[in-house]
Amino acid sequence: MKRYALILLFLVACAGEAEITEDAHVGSSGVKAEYIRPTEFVLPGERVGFLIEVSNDGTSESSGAYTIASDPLVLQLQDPTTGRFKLKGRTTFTPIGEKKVLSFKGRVSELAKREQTAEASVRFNMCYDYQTDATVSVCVDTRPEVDDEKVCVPGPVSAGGGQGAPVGVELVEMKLLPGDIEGVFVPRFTISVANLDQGVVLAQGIRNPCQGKGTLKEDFGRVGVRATLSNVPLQCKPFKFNAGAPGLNNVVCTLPEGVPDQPAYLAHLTTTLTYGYFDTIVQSITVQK
Amino acid sequence: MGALDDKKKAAPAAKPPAAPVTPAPPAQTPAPPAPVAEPEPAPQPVQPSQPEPAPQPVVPQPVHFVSKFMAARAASRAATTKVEVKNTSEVKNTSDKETSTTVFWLLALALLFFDIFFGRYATSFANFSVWFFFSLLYVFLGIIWWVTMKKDIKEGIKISAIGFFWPLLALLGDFFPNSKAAGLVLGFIMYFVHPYILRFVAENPRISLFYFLFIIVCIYSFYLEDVQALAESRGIRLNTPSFKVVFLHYWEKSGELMAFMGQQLMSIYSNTMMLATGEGMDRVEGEEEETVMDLGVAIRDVKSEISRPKEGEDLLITGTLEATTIDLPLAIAMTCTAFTETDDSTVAEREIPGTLEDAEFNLEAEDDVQESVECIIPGEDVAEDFDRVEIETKFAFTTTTSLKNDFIGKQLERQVNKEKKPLSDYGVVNTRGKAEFSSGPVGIGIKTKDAQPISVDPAKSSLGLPMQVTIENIGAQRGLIGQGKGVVESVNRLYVLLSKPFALSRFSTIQNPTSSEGISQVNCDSFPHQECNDDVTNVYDISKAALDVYEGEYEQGFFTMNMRVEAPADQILGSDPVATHTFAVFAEYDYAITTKVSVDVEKKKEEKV
Repeated sequence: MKRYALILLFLVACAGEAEITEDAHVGSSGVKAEYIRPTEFVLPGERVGFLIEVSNDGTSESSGAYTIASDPLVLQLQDPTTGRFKLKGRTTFTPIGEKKVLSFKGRVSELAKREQTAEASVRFNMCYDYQTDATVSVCVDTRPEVDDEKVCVPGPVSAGGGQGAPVGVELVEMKLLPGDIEGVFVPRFTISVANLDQGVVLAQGIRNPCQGKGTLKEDFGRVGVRATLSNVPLQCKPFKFNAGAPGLNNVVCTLPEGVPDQPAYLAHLTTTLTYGYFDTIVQSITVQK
Repeated sequence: MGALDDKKKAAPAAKPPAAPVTPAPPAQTPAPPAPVAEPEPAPQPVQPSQPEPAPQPVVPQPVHFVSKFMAARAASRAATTKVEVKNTSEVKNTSDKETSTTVFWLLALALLFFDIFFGRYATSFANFSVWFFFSLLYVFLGIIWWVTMKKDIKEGIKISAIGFFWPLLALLGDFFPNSKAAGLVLGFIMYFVHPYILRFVAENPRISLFYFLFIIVCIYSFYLEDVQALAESRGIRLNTPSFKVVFLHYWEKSGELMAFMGQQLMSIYSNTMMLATGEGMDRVEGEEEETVMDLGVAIRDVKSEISRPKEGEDLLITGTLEATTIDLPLAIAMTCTAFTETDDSTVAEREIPGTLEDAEFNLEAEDDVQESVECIIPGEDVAEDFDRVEIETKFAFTTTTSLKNDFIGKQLERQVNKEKKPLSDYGVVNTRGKAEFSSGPVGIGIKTKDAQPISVDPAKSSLGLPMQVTIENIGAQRGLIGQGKGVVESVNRLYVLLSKPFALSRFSTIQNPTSSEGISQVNCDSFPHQECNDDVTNVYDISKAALDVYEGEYEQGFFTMNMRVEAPADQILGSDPVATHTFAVFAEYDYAITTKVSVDVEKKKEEKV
């Protein structure tokens, strides 16, 4: 009997392992927050509590700051109303990211006798750093005019759906430009990037919106870019999201030393984007007698 | 130019893959948009031999109403103006100028196209240097144009000078993305100048095409963001201009604009009527909240028990007093007075005091009474010249109002707007800018800024906001006081509650008011109407002495008090990206309802001796 139980345990364990081998780098979420059992109606003078679950639904480890606020004439939240968090992200072997439950308390103001109701919004704001790692296979073909059987055909590579982060690579295009040395071609990559979630992209390390400080214009949308082609670093132009521009935003990276003239082959283009992200969740409360 | 570069490089994304290796791909260079059909640049000069005092309606074919207009204009001119015979050289001179005008238009058009499609459109106005360059260019062109206008040339061309600057005004729209007022002004200018353009087009058919294209470009510019959003929603990528989309949107927006302007005109008309009847002027709109309890005082069913009393007969006037209180006691005082009539203005009407059965009513908090009112005028005062009886009901009342203001960091707001994300996602929910007041015979409105949320620039030391408080007598208008006419006799006290860190920095013309001017900051303990917390609220007590400056305005039905509130900019948001601050006003005032009953007294028949 014991032997059967061990076999069964082994099978279950194997089955479990099969499930978690999915690619973790999918989805368009970073750190998400959610009110747990939100309170919609409260009484005047009541002491209320708010539970908020903060979870890292993406693949990058993230550290950040939070703040919670409301209309002080309706709801006075008790200190501390600000804090910091650090959460590990999803991996291939841990398909659920780290979570943290935050608790806040407050007191609802009394209503004037002639007032029947009052309303207020409770806003929970997060500012956190995040990283997007995107890897796509690109076809490098220095001899497009040759019609031999090739291992790959060059063309735009779609990477839609996100890479487990709020900012994602959507499309990669490559062009081969003639290099300074004959027989060497310089690959130039146009990497289209999009803000896939509800929040606002900030420069890495910026927490100002969650600290009541003014955020400089240049700190919005600033994204750090690193890219490699088969582990050889590329040179990328500084990149900043232009939120008002229609369509996608493009990062341009090149390999200045170039690639030699050779038959078509597949290479891995790895792009790493580093940035800050600001997001808010809101809950409305109604004070009723 | 970084964004521009990005934009240009985005274009090949939709193209087929990877071209063969070619030196210096031509796609790198910006492709000229050139959607403009090459217009005829060298029109034939006007026939110099014809003096044309009344130009024949040679008009662009599709504009039939223009030809009607011109025909009427020609007839009018023929009837009223002298035929001016110019010599050939003068006419030729004018024609030359017109030709150069045409060239000028061509140049302006080309530059505007270039500006919009390369500078503004491609960079979405982010590239300030491009914009600035073209702004200077426009100013330069404008000066040249103005100088040429000094010369003696055709009236139509002069009018076109207005037309030149008109569409450029639309470019200012970018600076007021949230201002309805600015949008309205621009829209008004657009439609106001339209007849002049039609007239100009009719007089100068050779350059009508350029004008037409010019208008299109400017409309395109005016609605640029909307057009982009619309195109995106329909799955159209606007890498190149799509005039089809623009035109569709233009018609939709024009319809909306016309409807909006119609509403505004109706509103102006009704406001004028209200002003004429003494009911309306500029005032801050208030809004009655839906869930308030009815409270206040009303007089109903006031009448004479005898419809046509005889001379010398006792007169009994009856009515009903209804009163409801919630939080405060209420004292009501009533008087009853009869008046005689007189046809001679030099003779004053006589007042006859009546006798009320109950002249005072005292209500406790949370009370609700309905009492009958009886007034007797003794028979000896009921004479042939008897005119009416007036019942006056006076009471002191308090009305409250509050306005929630949402504040957001300046750059964050811009970014959220740029990304076209709903502000409600960031907790900005109070965007109406309308106050809600409690029930009673007056309404109180508070207004700070129309455009909510209010931007906070933490780089500045403080943020000041105008705060207008309007007290409007709405009792009779909304049937709240029953029968009669109500009037605010005096405002005795005003409590202004400001969410910290806001402070009252001006009341009327008094800067930084102090207690010596009748305005003092008090603790919540001294505020009787509602629980408040000194940690989060600043309370100001504005006494009657300070309020008396508005005394003469009570009778007009409403009056607006101008105040200013200020707060250190770095404290408004606290540690949050969005903050809500509530401003509230509690007004204590005396109110009087006058109810008139006309009485026709039957003359006593003289007995025959």
